[in-house]
Amino acid sequence: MKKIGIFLMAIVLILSGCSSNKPIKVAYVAGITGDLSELGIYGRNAFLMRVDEINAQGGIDGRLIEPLVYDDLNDPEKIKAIYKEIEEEEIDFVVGHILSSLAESVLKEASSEDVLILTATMSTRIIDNVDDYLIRTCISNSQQGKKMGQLIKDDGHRAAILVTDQRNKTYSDEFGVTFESFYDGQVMTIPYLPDDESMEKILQAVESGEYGALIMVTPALDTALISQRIRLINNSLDFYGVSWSMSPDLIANGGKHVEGLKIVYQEADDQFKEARDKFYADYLETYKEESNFVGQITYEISDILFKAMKASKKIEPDQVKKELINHSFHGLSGLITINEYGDRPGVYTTYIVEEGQFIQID
Amino acid sequence: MKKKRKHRKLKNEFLLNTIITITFLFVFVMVVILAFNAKLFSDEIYFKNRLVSDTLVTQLDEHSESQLMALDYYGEFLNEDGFNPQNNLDQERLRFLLQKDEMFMSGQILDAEARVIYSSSEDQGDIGFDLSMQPYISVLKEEGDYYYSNTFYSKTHNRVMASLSYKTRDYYVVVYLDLSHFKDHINFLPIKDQLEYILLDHNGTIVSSSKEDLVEARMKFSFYKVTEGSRDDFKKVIIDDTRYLLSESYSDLMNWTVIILSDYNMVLKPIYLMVLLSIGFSVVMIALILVFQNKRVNYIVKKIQELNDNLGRIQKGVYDIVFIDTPFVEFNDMARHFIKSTDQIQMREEEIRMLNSNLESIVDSRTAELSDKNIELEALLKELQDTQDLLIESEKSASFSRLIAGIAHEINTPIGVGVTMSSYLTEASKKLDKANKDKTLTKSQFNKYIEDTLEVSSILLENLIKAGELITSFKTASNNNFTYDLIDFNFYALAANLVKSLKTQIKNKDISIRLAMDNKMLMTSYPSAYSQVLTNLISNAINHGFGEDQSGTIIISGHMDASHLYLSVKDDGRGIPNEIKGDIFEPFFSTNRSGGGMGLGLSIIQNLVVNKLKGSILIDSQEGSYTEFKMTFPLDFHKTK
Repeated sequence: MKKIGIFLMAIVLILSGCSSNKPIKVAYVAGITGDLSELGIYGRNAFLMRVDEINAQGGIDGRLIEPLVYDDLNDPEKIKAIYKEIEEEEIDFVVGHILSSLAESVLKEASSEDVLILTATMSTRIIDNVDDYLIRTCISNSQQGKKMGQLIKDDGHRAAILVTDQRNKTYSDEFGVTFESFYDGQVMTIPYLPDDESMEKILQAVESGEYGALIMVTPALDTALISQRIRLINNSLDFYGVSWSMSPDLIANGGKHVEGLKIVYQEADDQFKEARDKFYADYLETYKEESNFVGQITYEISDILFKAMKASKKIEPDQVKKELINHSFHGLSGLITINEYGDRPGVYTTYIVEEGQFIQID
Repeated sequence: MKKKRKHRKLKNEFLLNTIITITFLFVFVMVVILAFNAKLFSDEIYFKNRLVSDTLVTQLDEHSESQLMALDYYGEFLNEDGFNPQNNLDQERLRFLLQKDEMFMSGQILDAEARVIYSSSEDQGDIGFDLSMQPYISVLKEEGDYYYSNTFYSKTHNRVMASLSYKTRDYYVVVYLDLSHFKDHINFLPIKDQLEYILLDHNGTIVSSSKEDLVEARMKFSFYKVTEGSRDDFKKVIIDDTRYLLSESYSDLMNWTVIILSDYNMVLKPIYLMVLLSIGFSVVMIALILVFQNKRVNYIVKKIQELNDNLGRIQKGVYDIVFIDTPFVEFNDMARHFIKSTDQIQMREEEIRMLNSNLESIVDSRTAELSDKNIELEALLKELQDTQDLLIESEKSASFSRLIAGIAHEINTPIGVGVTMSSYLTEASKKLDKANKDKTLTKSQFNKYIEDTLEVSSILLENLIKAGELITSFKTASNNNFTYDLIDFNFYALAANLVKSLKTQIKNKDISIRLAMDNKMLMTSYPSAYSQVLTNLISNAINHGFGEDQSGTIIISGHMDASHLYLSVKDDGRGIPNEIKGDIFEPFFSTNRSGGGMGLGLSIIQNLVVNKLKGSILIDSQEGSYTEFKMTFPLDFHKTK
């Protein structure tokens, strides 16, 4: 019987194995299906790429990152339900949220230290100077409107058509307000939805011949579509876009018709070009397609989160937040500083599409 | 401690060993079979799945071929002389061609500059669009080149789509594929319920799947971790917490990969079934083998029992034992050796019998001699005992004499004085009476008589009191005049109180008393007797232990074990000379008789310790150094009875 006991004990020991470190759950939340899902997909891919890289290096303090992806459909109504799931899954860190129209709902979830949310794209002013558990690595939308106002003025346009996408109303309206406060010319604002009616209004405004500039506060595919349609009837109108549309999709779908289009986007430091190029090359290698700016900044914010986790004594939201605020990080676009409100101070710059490439001209 | 060996029955041991052997054998065989079968099942599932994925690829290729044939047909039409995209008739023909096959959602014809010159969409809003920067156009270099694009979300159709682009001599044809309904084109394929399929485009994006949400989210298959796989095309993958076996085939025509996933439980299910069957089979086999073994073991045990019985008979001197032939060589050999041994024993017994008869006569004569010697010895022993009794009696008598002599010596003086004083008083009284009768009694004579009488009476009374005190002491020595209660008490408390009260005795001396023992020393005995013993010992040490003006310490120490109290009273005084150590417990032995000592103190102590408290007392002393009384007492007096 003693022999059997030893044999069974040996089996139990073999089967029991060793327990490993608990993985750190990090959620990526964005609209990844349906309309306006392109940006969310670029972001998701970049997030997962950075997680894979971190895990390949052994994780953080020996703990692997467990990525979980949630689809918020870019719908504010979905946010509450998703955060309930996040709480049930005991997830402490969230990366994502693309559209500023989600900001109010996300802010409600960021009011407690249960979860630390990092967004790379919600540039709405609603978030500015709020001390909460929402960290943002994009520059405030107000800066974008200001830059665009100055740009149109500098380009000598006395009248401009402003197309504002109503699917991301918060972002578009805010942009419009700050733009108009810095631009003293005539502005024809056309609320936009991807339908024939909106397109018809834009075409009518263009055909009136009163405007020299068309500012499209729309995502890449819509900017490309509008540009294609306008160029068929007008070859002299200057096109302007916002960071929302800075994507290879703009060029692929806009073709030669988006050549010369100027985009206002966060400045990129040339000293960090090597890191940026490496990211775009790795993304291409991994996914066999080019990344866009959302991929870049999501990769960047994920990297910043993991750096803060490494520096933190305990991997908990309040501790990691301490390592983020009032700290600077080497990103892909430059040195990124997070202020005491979890915002990134900075200014926008101008890019132009030339021969199918985005070229920084400021 | 050596563990007692447990005795077991041989039969149980045989059967247990059989069970263990069979169990181990079955476990080993099962492990081998299961390992082999797991691989067999995995291989079988893999080959089945591979067959399915290959079939799917064949179907995809056929589907792609029909798409490409359609595009070829368009190309021929577009290459026809006189084709004019602006011509309404030509446009109608194009529309007809695009709708005819129902393979494409919509289509566009692009000129050599990649501008849209024809669109199947109703509003024709895309006419004139420049698609030259689209990757699906820029990759087409030669006539006949085609390209299945990345997936994308179509705003026009509100669904995930891919395009198929084709280069003719002068134009590009772009048709759009509805991926959300792509499976309609392959639903004739042998996809079983428990199988999942996934189609990946050239960059690993899921373009079609039985899991539709994967297509909507344009998932990359690389997101799923391939957990295991010795071959490139035979791996395990985890999707939504489910483990799948994966096999894949590649379509050269479409640049798409077909992946077939089967739930790994499909592999485990037959293995579990096989484990259950094996366990059931093993249990049946063990039962059968036990039944069979039981019969064999019973037979062997019976034979061993037979040997055992015969051994018992041999022990009783019965040698006519018979062994029945068995089928076992070992038993038969053993039986033969048994019978031989029995014969040998019989021969030896005969020899012993003969030797015995000789021995008996020798023993008889020796016994007679011994008997005589014995009688002599008995007589000597009796003499010795008598002498011993005599000696004891003598010693008793001597002791008694010493005791009587002691008592007599002590009492003799006061009694002698009493007799002398009484005689004197009698004589004086007679003289006074005669003088009175003779009328010669003078007043001064009478006054002297009175004076003498008072003095003599006083001396007489003093001596009678001393005699009385002596008798009281004798009674104390025989302890008959004490009454004691048997109670539970704390020896420490008793000793402590005693020491406290005795400290007055040493007030004028440079002697200290120290108590060294635990403060909780519970026992059941006669505390009054202990008080007396301790008092006498300490007083003895104070009065006799130290020289004049000698300083020192008396230490009373004690400890207990489960049954005894060990007590010591030790002084560091002048000690006891060796020549008197043997006498100190004797009654009336005193070194201080001149100082009033009667020599009864230690005798009383010994009497109390030994007779009253059922303990023992020893003395240890070194002259000029120390004296220690070591005592042992039972903790519970009840247990001494």
